[in-house]
Amino acid sequence: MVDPLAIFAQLADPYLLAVILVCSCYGLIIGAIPGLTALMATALLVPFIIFMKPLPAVAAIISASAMAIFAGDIPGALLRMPGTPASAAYADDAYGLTRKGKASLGLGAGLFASAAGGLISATVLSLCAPWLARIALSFSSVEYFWLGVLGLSCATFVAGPSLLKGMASLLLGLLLATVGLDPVSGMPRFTFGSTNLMGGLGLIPVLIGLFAISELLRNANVDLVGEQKANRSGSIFATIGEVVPRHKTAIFRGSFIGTIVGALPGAGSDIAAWISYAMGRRFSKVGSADTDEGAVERIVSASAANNASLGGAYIPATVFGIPGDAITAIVISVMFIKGINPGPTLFLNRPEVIYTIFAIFFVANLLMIPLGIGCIHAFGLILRMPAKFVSPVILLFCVLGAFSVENTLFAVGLIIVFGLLGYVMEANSIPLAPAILGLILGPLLEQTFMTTMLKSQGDLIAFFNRPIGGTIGVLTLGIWTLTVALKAFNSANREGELQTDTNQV
Amino acid sequence: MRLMKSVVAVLLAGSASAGGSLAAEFPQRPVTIIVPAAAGGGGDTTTRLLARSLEGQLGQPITIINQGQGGGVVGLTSIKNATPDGYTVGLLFPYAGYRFTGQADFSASDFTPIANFNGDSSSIVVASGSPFKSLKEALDALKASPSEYKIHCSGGCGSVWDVPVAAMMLDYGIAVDKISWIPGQGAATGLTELASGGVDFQTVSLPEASSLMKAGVVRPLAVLSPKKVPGFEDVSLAGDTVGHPVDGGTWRAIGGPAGIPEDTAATWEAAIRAAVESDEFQQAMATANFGVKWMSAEELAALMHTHEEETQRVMTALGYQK
Repeated sequence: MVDPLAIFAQLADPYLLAVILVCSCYGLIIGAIPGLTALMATALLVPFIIFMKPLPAVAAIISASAMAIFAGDIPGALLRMPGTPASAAYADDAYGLTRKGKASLGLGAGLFASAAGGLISATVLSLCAPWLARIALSFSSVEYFWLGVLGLSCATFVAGPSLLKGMASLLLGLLLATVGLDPVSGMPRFTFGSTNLMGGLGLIPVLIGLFAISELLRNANVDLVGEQKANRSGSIFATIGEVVPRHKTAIFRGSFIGTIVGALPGAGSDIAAWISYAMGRRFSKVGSADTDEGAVERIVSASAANNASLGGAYIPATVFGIPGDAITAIVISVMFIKGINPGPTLFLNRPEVIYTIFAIFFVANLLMIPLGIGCIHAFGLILRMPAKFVSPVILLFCVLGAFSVENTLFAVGLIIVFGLLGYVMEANSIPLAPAILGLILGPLLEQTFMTTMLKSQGDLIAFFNRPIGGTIGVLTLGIWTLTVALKAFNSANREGELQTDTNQV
Repeated sequence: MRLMKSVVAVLLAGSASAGGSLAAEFPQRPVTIIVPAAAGGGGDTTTRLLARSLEGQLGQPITIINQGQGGGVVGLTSIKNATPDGYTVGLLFPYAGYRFTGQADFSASDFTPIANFNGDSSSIVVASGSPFKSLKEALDALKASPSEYKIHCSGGCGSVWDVPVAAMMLDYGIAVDKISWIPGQGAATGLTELASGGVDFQTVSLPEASSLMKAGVVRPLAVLSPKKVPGFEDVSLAGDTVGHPVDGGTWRAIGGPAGIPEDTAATWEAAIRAAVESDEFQQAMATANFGVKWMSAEELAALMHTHEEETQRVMTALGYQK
């Protein structure tokens, strides 16, 4: 370890602090706009930070991306338009609270969980980055495949009341994920000769279409303002005092899952949020209930996870120069350009640099609380404006978001098509979340399955003959069997009850 | 709809306001460089570094547009179909492999070659626990029983890093079509596969593997370069093992759609040359661990032809039909 005073001295640089503050505000704004992601916020920063000194440059990325991931919750909760894919898992839960006039409860819980997730992952990062990075490096395609299957099982928990409709939605998502180049052989599929479809259906345009555009369409029929009248944002600080003690297990579980998933190259904050959300729904008594309390529990565990995954991604990035997600891929190239070459030698030769970077995580996540509260209040004002003014502006941002991510007009067309699809799906009460999950996990599953089969030359034993992979595999299959068995058992029981006490119902 | 159109129009203003008199002094308005890769990767980073120095040379701002979809096919298609007025150019890199996987059919005649600015050699790396201590041991084992081994291509197979390695193995008498070539989503996925014991070898650039090499997790066997690579002087040259110089890897160049006027292309070439030779660019590339490799338009055109022939030879040997 290094002298903490040296780190404080580095942190006390007013220029560095100013960069953190400015980039935090910038990250909040980008994240709060539907369609503009944390990755986008980072990529847009690159031309500016290329002129900065190394520490402020990395600090800019850390603070902007952390804020953007949190801010994605705000439009998700208030307008049911997740600002980033990482917020999609619990957009419905948070929006449900808003409709009951409890926006500040959902958002306050999300804000605190985000900050806590970030702080916990920063602690893990500082204490055992090199050790965890070794574990992350023992993951081959087999382990990723099982992780993907585990993620897919989440769909059964987010499917909503009708399992059948949920599965239909999931399969639609998986089908859409196959459009484009086969991830292994590179053969074009379902592209109909169009170059634009070659790249597949971009996650961001589809997400914007399904959630945001369809919501705009619905709002065109329903009076948004009338519905929201009951909403009064209470004190967010008061919420925090209530939420933390009651949901501390969920926060810790989410942070832990987020850090681990984030540390795995190839699985990012969106997957972390989904897995943690499903865990919250499945393995917590409170979280499995369809009450406000249950919604808060799920929001808290998923929000903690997506912010924790950001810190987790820095584990393989700083220790081995291997990006844990697309954001750290940019961080690594910025670090190289700045002459801080990530790798184990960085820990040995320049520990003050690496630990200052970790310390910036703490600063950024603490700063998130006051800035986040301000942002929630500012955004809350939007709800008081008439829909006829708000909707066109949101549409404008949706179009901008889709275009800026893909740099093609085709993406703008996609949001319209998926907006209509989302509207039709919702009108027939088919949940959207499983489709998004399928779209996120489809490529990972396919890629890792095919790679494993290529490596083993078609031998299925390969999925079980590695210690970690086999364990996750058996665990996943166990969860599935248990779920199915419990369902069968419960329904058999209930039928029995129904037959004996029909008159009590 | 009208609102949407006007937004798009504003966004595209940089490239859409074509027409008017053909400028005597090119360029008279901002220029666009299309990068067929996502932000943050090697193609993006090197182009941004070049663009930073180029802006001073051209006297106009440069807009970089990332189109990484479809493994680069979308971006390359945009470059190919751009108006050949010199205001839209793009990053070219080994492209011939797409033809054999049926993704696209690019050839040298689709582009106006301008200049090459970056080149990195391919290398073969193994996990530190691998039984192979030298390239010779590895090649002999592969010759004896090719079907027992798995080689990770880093990116898609039939591409930048694996084609030169496969060509070398072909010359060594190895049945390359019997080897399991494992495609991935970039160097990082391959390196984790290698470290976790999922594959036996990986074809990758040295800078991308350098952090893990320093950590003692992976070990280079040889680099496909005719001379020692700066910063990696202790990595042996593949040529020393096979008996003749071996040179293969990626190249990154600026090119435009076919049919850019000669004097405009010449302005570009001169500007890129000055940018490549600038201390600013040289230093930035060195700290970011990228190799600087200047080639004129003429040399680049020749390179593109050899690249297509070499890819054809290897892909046919690997069993791809076209």
